[in-house]
Amino acid sequence: MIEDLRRLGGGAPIACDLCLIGAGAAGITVAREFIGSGLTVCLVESGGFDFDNQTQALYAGKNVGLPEHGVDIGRLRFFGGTTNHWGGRCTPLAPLDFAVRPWIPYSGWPITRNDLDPYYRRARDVCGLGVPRTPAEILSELALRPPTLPPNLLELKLWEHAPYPWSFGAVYREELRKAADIHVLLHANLTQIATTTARSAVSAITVTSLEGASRVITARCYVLCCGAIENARQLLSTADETAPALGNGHDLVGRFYMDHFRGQVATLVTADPQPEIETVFNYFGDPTQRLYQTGIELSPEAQRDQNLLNACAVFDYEGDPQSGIAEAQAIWRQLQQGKWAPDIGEKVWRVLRDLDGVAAMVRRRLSTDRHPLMPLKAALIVSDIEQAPNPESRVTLSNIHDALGQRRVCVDWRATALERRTARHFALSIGSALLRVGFGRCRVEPWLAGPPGEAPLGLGETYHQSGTTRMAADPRFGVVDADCRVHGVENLYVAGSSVFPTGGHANPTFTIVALALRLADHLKVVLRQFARAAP
Amino acid sequence: MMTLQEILGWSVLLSLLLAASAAMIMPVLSRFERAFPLGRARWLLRSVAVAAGALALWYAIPLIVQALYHTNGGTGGDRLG
Repeated sequence: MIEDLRRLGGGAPIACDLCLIGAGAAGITVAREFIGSGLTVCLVESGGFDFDNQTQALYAGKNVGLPEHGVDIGRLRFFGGTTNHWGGRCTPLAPLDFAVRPWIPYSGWPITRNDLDPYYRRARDVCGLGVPRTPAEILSELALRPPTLPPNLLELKLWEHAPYPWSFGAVYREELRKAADIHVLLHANLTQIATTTARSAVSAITVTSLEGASRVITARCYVLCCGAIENARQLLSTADETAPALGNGHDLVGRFYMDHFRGQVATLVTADPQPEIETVFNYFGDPTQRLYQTGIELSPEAQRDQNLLNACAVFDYEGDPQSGIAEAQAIWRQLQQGKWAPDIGEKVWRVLRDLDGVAAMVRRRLSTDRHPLMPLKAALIVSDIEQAPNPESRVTLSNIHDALGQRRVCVDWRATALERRTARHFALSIGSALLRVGFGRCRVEPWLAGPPGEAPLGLGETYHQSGTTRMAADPRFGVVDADCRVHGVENLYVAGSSVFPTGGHANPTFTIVALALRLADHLKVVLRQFARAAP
Repeated sequence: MMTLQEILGWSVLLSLLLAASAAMIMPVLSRFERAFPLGRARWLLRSVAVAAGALALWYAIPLIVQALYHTNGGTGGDRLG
């Protein structure tokens, strides 16, 4: 059942077994697990089914750290959440990502990759990936013969992609609408979390629409599924003059804010206008229209031996903008926008001049469904570097208030020296590996070439916000326990990437879904215990 | 001032549009001419009709391509992970 708080209006409290706050990847995944369970779920969502500026404006915040815009535009505040612009790249975190790595302060999860593996398998269905296959099977099917990379230093990385677009809101809307035990409440913004006197449990939450309609929701358990920045914001908002915020007894909520550092680390220089590298590291579609991407990652051995963070890289091919293929693509892209390209006469001439190249590209596209081979100007090596957990990189509350009277966030995103060292080592390793296999020479980016600390970090954000309510068995080191329950609050849980203690290089959504499935299993047990204990 | 390349490109594009227009219009026009013989005026009619067809194609092609391929409207999102 789906309702809109603006139409429902104020009235009696809504009672349910489980209240999920936020209908993004995590919230929707947990909710779906309760369909037909006999337990009632209320899934509240700030937005409606579509993007609207007023609701999105509730996310606006201040930035006082490294340049980033993800606070405002990296997140989406409507049904489906940020999956509404999700690219669909799916890969699990590596086993080493979960381990305590002595060279990375604050690293280590209280769970292992083995604990999460069954949930990663289930997450495949949720993300539309279908039957699992080994990388070797996929490479064989795609007829790819990757080069031999230096053992114990670099490894081939293969990413699977969810069908595009795969917005959880669009994909699962009808299923949730039909589910009798799931009550989706749209335009319902969390404005208050009420607790018991001892602050050991949540007693109710209040949701309010931008138009002023308000409802109280009572449940046996509550889950914050609002994304890494908003989860911290909501917890921090529970502080008052007499008590710290929920879960913040050790001043950890909002700290350890992380993202992946992404940027160009090197450029491959090659005299060959159609180098072989483009046939190995690229996007590839299989006959069933599933999309894959190949790249390079740092091996676990190299991370251990060189005391580095995790990292991966893909190749971004910059075609010669004056080639016939590039001009044909430019004309086509403009037509897709409903316009003729500017300078159409000159563009048509360049296409005609390079007609055999354009014909070969079209033939390749039609026969293999592969991206066209472009006469290259450059192959840019773009890397995603894991961010080291850093307590000084944090989300706090500013003194500016939003339309609902809640304090806006202030983000202070900070890097450590380890990210730069990892990027430099990784870029140099890729350069020597590509030279050895004959792909060409790499020119490391100037900001990495000089002595450490000389040039500013040439990496930016990826909107993979995480870490602000990190998971740890001991409340002194984390906000939630291994079951994602907020330490010291018996019925409040957190779902999403905010619980990641470290983030590897993997795009977070696949792990968010796996963790949400694991949390749903845990909550089913807990809620049935509650039901048995109830008079 | 147009360069020679631009002039050549435009000429080819215009020729393609006129050819496409003629290919669509001429079968219809031939039937019309059989029903209403126009004598020498038929060349004038053909020229005007094919030119009008080419102009219509100039405006219609981008709209048709956009309608067929523009599927991801809305959030302005990127292919993020």
